[in-house]
Amino acid sequence: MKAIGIAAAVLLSAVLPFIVPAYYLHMLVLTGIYCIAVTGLNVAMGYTGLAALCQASFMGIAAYASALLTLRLGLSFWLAAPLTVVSVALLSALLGVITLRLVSHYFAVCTFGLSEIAFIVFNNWISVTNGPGGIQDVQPPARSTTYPLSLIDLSERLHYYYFVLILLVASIAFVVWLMRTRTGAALVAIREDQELAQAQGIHVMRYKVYAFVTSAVMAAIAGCLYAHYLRFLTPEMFTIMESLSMVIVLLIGGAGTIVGPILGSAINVVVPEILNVVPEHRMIAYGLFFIVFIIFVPGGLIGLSRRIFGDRSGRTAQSAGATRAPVAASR
Amino acid sequence: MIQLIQQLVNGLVMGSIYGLVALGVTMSFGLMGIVNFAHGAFVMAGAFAAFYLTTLYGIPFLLAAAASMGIVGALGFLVERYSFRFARHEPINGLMISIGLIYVMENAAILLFGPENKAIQPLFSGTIEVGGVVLATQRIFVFVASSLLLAFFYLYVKKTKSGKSMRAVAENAFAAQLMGISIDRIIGLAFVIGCVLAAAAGVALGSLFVVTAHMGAAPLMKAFVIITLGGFGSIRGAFVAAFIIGLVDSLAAGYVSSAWADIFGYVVFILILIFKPKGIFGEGT
Repeated sequence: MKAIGIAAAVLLSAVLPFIVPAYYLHMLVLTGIYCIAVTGLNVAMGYTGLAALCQASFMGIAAYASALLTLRLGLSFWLAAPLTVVSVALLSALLGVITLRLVSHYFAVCTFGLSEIAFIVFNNWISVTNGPGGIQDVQPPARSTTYPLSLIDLSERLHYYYFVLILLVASIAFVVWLMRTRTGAALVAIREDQELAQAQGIHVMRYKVYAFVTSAVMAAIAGCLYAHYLRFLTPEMFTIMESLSMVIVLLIGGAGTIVGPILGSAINVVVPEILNVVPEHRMIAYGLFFIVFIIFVPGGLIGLSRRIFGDRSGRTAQSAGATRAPVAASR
Repeated sequence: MIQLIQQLVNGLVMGSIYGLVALGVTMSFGLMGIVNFAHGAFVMAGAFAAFYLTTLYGIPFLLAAAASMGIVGALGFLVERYSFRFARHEPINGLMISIGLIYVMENAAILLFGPENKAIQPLFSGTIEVGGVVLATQRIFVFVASSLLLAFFYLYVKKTKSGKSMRAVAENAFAAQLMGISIDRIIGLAFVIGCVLAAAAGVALGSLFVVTAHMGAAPLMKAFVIITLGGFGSIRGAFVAAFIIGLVDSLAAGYVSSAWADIFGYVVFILILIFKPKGIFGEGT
């Protein structure tokens, strides 16, 4: 039954470009790319409970790196993109080792700082990133020279859609597989109760770094795809607000579930299209929905917070201040 | 030498404004455990209120500033009562709510007031010269007014009954309640005061620079750096750190470049967070 559902979903996304009006193909590609990044965020935030507010920054770093490697060094996309993804993985591992000592909102504030730093670099390292002007003329991936593949031209939008779709399906399949392994169980255990997980012999730090890097790698894949699809980049595309948007999209769709990122990304694109609203109205609606969601959805409220920061049930509003640890640093 | 003095004075001016913003952030954290990302939006709301009162209705600057503090205080009351109050037992939910609030408030500001930059007509327009150093009168005024507000607030927290209640709640909310302190009222009051100070900062920033929907973001980030440096929840630490950051900022802006100086600030902020999580001046409220 489940297999049928999955097959139907994949089939549907494969024929979708022929069902919807041509205009929407562009939206579909962007949704697919966005969905890869949010799927990554889901590993860190949804499954492991890390409030990482810098997903768009990793995406941005990868987008800039891949664009610059192809433009300045003349590397082919097929070399530049994997190089970029590996570099972002190393960078996120390094940052993870340093920052994941922090828990709860201290980690959140820290990643907020990281994303500010990334934005300032994009905006001010003018000799490399061209500052606020951004980068133009990023080339789509070159045609492969091997015969059957040479027919695939990724400068064509439809082909790019399938390229994105394959990577999206691969990312989702990876997460499904990951969550069935012991590693996945360890991640959920950390989300549910970090201290208990540690007591059971789970190397909390190692698994957190693992989740953080996985999440960043998916952001990096999305970033490479984004750069070579849109063909221009500006710092404004990767601000902290973009990272926060991804968090909201993930929570709207359902954090810690496989379909959550897909659902959230789809809602993010489809609903404003249908309602045909100005962006400000949509943002206000998102914000209000988000606040109401956090306050009123009982499972959302309790489940979410427990997922994100360990079990603190049993605490009442009154005793919260009384028992709050002064600072929760690394243990 | 003259340039140095100029930068130092600017640093003090910015430090006093940052102090106003940081106090609200540090109180939200100290009393509710909430990292309030939306605090910058209250700064912005204060600036917009003052802009409209002065420009459209011709209300004098000081009166408009006071009215804007009142309006934003009322807004803060509503926000605390109907959103943050529900997150008090789970601080991370407060952080999430504040993210939602940024979306609502900044976009509402764009819708209501348009995306163009605006400026509040300052109270003073001239400059004064002291020993060759030329200083804008409005900056001096902002510094004096902000410092007075900070001093007033400090005395309030140290001397008055409700100020003492605030410190008691920050110290131990449960025990404070046993002593007959209404936590709801004290936290609400503290939040409103934070918003009033944020509005004052907004008016000050709006009269020196520009008023935009996103103007709160930069001082908010500074406020985070400041409260990390000063120790989360510590008021005295926030005071000292605000002036340090103000001075470092303006010296860096004068002698290096302000954008790269910001990076340095954030790196220091993250390092302090990691290695000295109680802040350099960490202590009780």
